[in-house]
Amino acid sequence: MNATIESLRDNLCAAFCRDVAVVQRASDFAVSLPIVGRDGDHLTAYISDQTAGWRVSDMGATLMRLSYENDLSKLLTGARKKLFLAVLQEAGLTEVDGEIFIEVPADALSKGLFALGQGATRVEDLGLWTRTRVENTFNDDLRSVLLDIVGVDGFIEGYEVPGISSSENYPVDFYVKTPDIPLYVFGVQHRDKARLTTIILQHLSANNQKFNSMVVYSDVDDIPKIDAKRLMNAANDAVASINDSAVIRSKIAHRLTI
Amino acid sequence: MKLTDVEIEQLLTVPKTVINPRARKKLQNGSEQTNYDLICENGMSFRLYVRQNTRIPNGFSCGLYYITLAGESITLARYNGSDHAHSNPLEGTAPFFMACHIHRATQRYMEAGRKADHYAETTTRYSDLTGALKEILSDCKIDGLTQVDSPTPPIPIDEPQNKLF
Repeated sequence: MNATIESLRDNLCAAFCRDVAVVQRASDFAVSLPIVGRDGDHLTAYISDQTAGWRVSDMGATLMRLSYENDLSKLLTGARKKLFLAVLQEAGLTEVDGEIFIEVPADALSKGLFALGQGATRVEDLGLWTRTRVENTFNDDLRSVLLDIVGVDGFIEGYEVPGISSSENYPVDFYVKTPDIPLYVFGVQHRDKARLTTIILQHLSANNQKFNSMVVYSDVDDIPKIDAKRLMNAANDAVASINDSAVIRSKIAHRLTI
Repeated sequence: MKLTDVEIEQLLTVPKTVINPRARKKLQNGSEQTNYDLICENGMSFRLYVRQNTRIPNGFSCGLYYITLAGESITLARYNGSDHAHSNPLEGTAPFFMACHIHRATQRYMEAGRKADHYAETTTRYSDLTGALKEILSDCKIDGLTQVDSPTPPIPIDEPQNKLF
């Protein structure tokens, strides 16, 4: 190997610089970076002077790009909103009215550019988190928690309660086998599922079924209060967040020992 | 879902009609956004979106995507402004910097596992959003938008677009 650390570093620096273009604008500089989105478009960072440093901004381009195929008012809600905020926080970025930016000391411009680039590409990936995919992930998480608690033979997924009318239209997410009254567990990640679960529970009750029910929310704060209230009246028990696995475990253990 | 180039061409050129020409423009997260719903004679659904960055005059885009019966969407074409560079990795050519460019869905990029509309070519057919919208309406045979979306403010004359290095 003929390369040395110095020559490799020099080559990398030269190659990187070849892929960077800088354009002067009225009040700032536009810097085209070799950081590429899923559609091949490069990130442009806008840098301007700040007191003792630089302000590095995307000028709102990242969220505008995300809006092409997504309704941001729906995309940036619930779990995705939390992920969005986590991405920004981890990269040290701030978002105001769609603009994502970072302020860095005078000697940390490259750090600011990379922070913006990393944050912007991670934000772009939020577009891949469609509602269906988020729901699948939530269901996977809930299944995994139940597997951990009762084992693979301890529950049936997509259970159709026997002996009731149109049972195929009123499936139970997870039937947890207990020594006494069956426990029906439902995962609820959004308003529509809260309403559907309320309907299913009411249908089962109207058919004189004896059962205990437990609702596990993705995050109860994402459910409109009126829907959560109706579901609270229909279900025996609830866990506010899928992240409360210790609470899920203790509530299920309680039913198993009756 | 993958499309062949023939299917893409058919989808791009089938005559389409805007069914909500008075769609409201909204200001959201730093960009002006309008979405138009389109159908063609055999009932296939499309959407035309129009975006203008409120902070960057040359940051604009209008695109057309096809919505499958299953609700999946595939962008067929996107007419972008000149606020960013673009790379076509399968061609292996150098990126082009700060030029208006048109993205097209291609079978080749889809088969390579890339985003359908990854491929793009530079264009001089427009320089602002109004021009881009005019071109996409014409190229993709979109009818029913009698009033072109409000024009983009021109790039301020005190904002030279000279490349330094």
